[in-house]
Amino acid sequence: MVPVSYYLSLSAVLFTIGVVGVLVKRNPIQVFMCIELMLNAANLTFIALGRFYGTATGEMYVIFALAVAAAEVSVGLGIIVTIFRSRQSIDLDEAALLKS
Amino acid sequence: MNLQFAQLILWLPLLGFLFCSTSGLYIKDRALQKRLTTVIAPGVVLASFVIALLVTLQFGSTSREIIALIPGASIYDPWIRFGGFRVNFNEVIDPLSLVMSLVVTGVGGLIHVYSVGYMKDDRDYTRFFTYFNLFIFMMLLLVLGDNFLLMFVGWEGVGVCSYLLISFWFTDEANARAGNKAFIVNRVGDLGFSLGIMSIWSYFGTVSFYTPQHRGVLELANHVGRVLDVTGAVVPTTAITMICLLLFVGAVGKSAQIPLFVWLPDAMAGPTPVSALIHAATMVTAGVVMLSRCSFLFVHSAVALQVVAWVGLATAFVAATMAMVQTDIKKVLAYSTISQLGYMFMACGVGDFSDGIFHVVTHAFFKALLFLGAGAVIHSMLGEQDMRNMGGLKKKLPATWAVMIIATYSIAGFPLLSGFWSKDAILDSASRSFAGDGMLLYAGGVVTAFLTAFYMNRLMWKTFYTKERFADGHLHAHQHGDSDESGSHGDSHGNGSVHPSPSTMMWPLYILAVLAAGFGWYAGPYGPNGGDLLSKFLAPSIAPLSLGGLQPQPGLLSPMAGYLLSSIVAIAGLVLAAVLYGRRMESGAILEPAAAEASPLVWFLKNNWGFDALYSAVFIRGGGLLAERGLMRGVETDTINAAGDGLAKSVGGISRLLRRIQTGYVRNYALVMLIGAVTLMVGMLVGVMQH
Amino acid sequence: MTNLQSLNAILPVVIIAITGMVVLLGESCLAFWRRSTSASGIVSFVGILIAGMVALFRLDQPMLHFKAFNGALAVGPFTQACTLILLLVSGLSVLVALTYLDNRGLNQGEYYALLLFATCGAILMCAANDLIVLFVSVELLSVALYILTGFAKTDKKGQEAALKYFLLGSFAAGFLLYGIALVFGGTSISGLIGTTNLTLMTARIPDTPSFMFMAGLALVLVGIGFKAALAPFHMWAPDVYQGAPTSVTGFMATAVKIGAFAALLRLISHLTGIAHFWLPALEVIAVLTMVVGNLMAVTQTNVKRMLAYSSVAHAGYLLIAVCACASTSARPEALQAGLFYLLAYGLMTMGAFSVLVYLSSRNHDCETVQDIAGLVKKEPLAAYLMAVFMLSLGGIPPTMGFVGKWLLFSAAMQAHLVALAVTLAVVSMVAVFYYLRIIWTMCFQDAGSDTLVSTSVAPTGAQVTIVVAAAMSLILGVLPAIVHPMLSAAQTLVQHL
Repeated sequence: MVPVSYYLSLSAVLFTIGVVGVLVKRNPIQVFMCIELMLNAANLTFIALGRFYGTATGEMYVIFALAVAAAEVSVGLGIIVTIFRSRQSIDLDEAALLKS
Repeated sequence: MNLQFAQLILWLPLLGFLFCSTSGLYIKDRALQKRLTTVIAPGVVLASFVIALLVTLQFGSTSREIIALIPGASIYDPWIRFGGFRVNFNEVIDPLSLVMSLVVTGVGGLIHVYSVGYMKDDRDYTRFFTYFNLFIFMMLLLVLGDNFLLMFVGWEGVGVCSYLLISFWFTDEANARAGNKAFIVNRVGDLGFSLGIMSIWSYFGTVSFYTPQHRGVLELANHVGRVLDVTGAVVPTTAITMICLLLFVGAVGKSAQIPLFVWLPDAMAGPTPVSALIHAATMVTAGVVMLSRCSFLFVHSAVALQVVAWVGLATAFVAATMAMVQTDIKKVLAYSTISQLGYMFMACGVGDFSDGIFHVVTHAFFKALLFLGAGAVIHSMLGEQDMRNMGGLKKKLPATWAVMIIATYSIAGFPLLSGFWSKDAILDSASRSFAGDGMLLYAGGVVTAFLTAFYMNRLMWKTFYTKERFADGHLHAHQHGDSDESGSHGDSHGNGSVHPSPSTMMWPLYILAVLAAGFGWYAGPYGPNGGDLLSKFLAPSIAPLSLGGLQPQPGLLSPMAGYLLSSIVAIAGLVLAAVLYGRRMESGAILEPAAAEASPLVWFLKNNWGFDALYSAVFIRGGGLLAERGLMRGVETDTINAAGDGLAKSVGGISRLLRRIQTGYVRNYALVMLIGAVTLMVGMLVGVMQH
Repeated sequence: MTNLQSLNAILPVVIIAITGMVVLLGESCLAFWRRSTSASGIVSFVGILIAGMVALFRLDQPMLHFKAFNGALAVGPFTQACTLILLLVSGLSVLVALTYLDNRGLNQGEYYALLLFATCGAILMCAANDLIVLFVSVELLSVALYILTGFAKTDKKGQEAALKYFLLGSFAAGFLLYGIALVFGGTSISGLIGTTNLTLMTARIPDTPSFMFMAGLALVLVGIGFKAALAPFHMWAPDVYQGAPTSVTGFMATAVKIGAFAALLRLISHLTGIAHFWLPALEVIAVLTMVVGNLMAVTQTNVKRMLAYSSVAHAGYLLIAVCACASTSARPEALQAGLFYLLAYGLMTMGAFSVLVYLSSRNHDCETVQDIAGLVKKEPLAAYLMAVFMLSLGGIPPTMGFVGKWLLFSAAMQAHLVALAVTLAVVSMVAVFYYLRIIWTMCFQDAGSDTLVSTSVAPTGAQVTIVVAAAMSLILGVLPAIVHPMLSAAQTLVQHL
């Protein structure tokens, strides 16, 4: 039996990787993948804790989170596609019309 | 008893105001807008009067009813609630507020109707009625509000309306200056009033007059010989005296008593209906109303009462002497208003508040009548206000003369007319002053009554009886004062001759004439139902002197001897004026112009006993020097301006600097968020660790 | 409590959700028959009206301790009051949208459906008594708003705003979810199962909470703070507000903030036992938000962007109410002040954006300072009412903004948060400058030749919104007592937590 703290540490590492990825990537799809990593780090925490407590609550929360993430993906990809259509590029650094 | 509909008394004029003020935005047809204004503006005030009348009839023998101002609200709902400071949004329906509501809406309604004729050719017809309706609303708020704060809102509101209406023809600089003078002098009084309200709050813990829990200021003061605060502790007498004197300062400003009376004569720059409504019948009596409302406080302070009485008498006498030498018809009436207000204060000062209100009511009738009559004269003379250029108008304006003579005899105290009853009641009370100075107060009052009769009949003779001193048919519209609106008279009336006023202007005069003649008898000691209707009705709102442990002294004269003396004095004054001016039918002046100019007494009286010169020297010149030499150079230019500029510049600089952080790049935003999140997390964890 | 009773308890949300679906399906069916009608908007408005009446009727129903769906949602006067405020602003947004979409040729039923779903999300945020429900409702609100932000599909600024909002919003959602996960772990005390339910959580927190719990709480605050646009999580707000269609900006600036602050007030009221751990952090954030928002607004030349920064500043003011909740004695006052300010803020902000919508035409959004120069000569009514909103935002009597600020100030004083009260007073003076500058521009600056006169096809919706918002701002500024029953009811609920 792997102790719960291992899972929690792993998810913390995953979350950090996700955060750093958001900061360094210029492609919005890659950025969004990193965000997914953050969400999944949270999911991992939920499941690990749920197992640790011996309840299904953690798994249930994960289902919620997955559904929400799926909705976000569809909307996010839609937005990225419209940008690509009008600019032929999805580089985030080019999307800086609005500032100061 | 359901008096909820009394809310409408207050709200109808506000609706009228809202209509008048906004109609320009959605009614593009000016003629239609004017027609609607003509119906709605006087209509709402008259409707208010009808409702006030219905409420009064329903009121019966109840002593007081508190109702919420907002339809559907509860009387327990606070209007303002900041921490422990709670103010309810209620109105108090009691005899005092009912009487005043009736006067304000009744006389106000009549003057609205009169104004329809008077202002009909004015360019800013709707603006005039906007202010007029707003004034009625504010005045009703002042008399109906159930706490000092609402009263203060109304108090300031009528002040603003007064300012706006005095300088109604603001293109003339003198009018604008008169408006400013009224406003600034009133600020002095308002400062006293607001300090008084703050003191009441700090000593009593409430500013309500009456509350549903019987914890209002007036209820707390309604104990023999002592005043309690909300917690039940006794409020010291010195505090009561201080509060009363501060409130009185407010009353002095609003009601133009010595030493703050100087604004009222200048306020005559406004249109005549304004002078009639605001500067004679209603607003200037607000001070008396406030004193009567606070009678429960005043009776606990003999000192404050004495101050009130003597300031009142001094004002009555001084203003009457000044009225003797005025040549502008409206100025005579303005000084006479100040003088009559002095009588009312004297009544309050000897603890006879209900007769003070009695005089407020009768004064509203005859003074409104005098002003409206004078307005009709001025209107007919195409804006001429100087009595030296009048004379012989009795033949040309018989109806105006008839109502003016009633009003003059009423104010002079001619037997059995309204002014006789109310003035005699005041003199009688003054003679029985609790402080033992009845003899002096009575004597002063009688002398003033003589002067009043004299200067009023002087006005009548100069205007109506003496020989014509103008060329009929060759009058030309004046550029100042009331003439602006008659600029188009040349078109509407053809030529420069004296013409009678339209019927919308005359009917209000007839109604007021009936009241100026008969109301005194109706409400006075020999009226129906055993007499003294008004003071019996007012009794629940007015504190008896005995509450403060004071006793009226026995009178000097029996009532009948008093009436006789008053009658003799009044008739003597009237006759003296008639005799003196009867000898000078040609010139219409007792002294030749040269002699009048040389007379030091006339000079002294014409210059307001030197009050204006004194204020000008001390406040305007002295204050100006202080402001310029001291404050502007030393403080403003060097310190405040520099600091202000520097601050504005540095704010702008920081702003521009901060804007650079907002780069527009998503990852920068994410980085700032991350830094914030990490800082927040670390901060909170450190907090836990330290524990 | 059966599920049926629970559904009944959140009837306003159910009505809004059903209306949203009807609009969505109805639009597809009608598309064959007739394109570009206002029918969807009118149906949505009616739905909101019905829901609002239900909420209004339930305001004085005694449901003090009612928890729907096994404690997942709290349905009491506090929720009802927030629901009413939200329905008011979303009803007004629908009216504004009727004008705006007509102008821009964007009239599509999806818009209203998304607006209604977002409203559902915001209402559920106010009601959420469980952090996971809070997460789901935040996302419901956000996902709908991502689409609405990019609703003008061909507008480059709109696209960019949508992308930024989407990425940063999801980033914040990551923080929120991870924070909830940590709270789930951090509330496990002495063998008990961890919880995300606020009511249970209150009982579980020891005097000194665990590291895991505090870390989770911090991340949850980041997530909510992002939605409320608190500094330093506000960076998205100006860009997104500026780029989004103006009618969406109006909704976003009001509904999201109302939902976020209701959630924050509820969360914080459950954590007063450990107030000394989070209060200093929130105080710092409040000061930072007030200062940054106001300073940045000073030099803006784009009215939408200026209003965005001003909404950041107002978030700082609102955070004062949240901070004051920490003190038990000041909590009733603080909750009242917070709710009143939310209402005031919603009305005046919505009003200001509606004026911009009213002045926009087919190919030109009214948004810069030049666009409104000399407005008083061409559109006097719009200019006067804009002045009312600016005075109210600046907190000048006799407007609602003044009363709200005064209530916040006295709540702060009562909770002994002197630093916050002083900051509020100081930054308010800075704020007056840029609000008055708008009025000054409208009144005294000469209009350029190309400036706008409303050319809207049917500006009725925007007009109604402007007039209603202005009238309420003024009436409630003079008579704040009108809404007092609502506020005091709301305060009792939280007292009985």
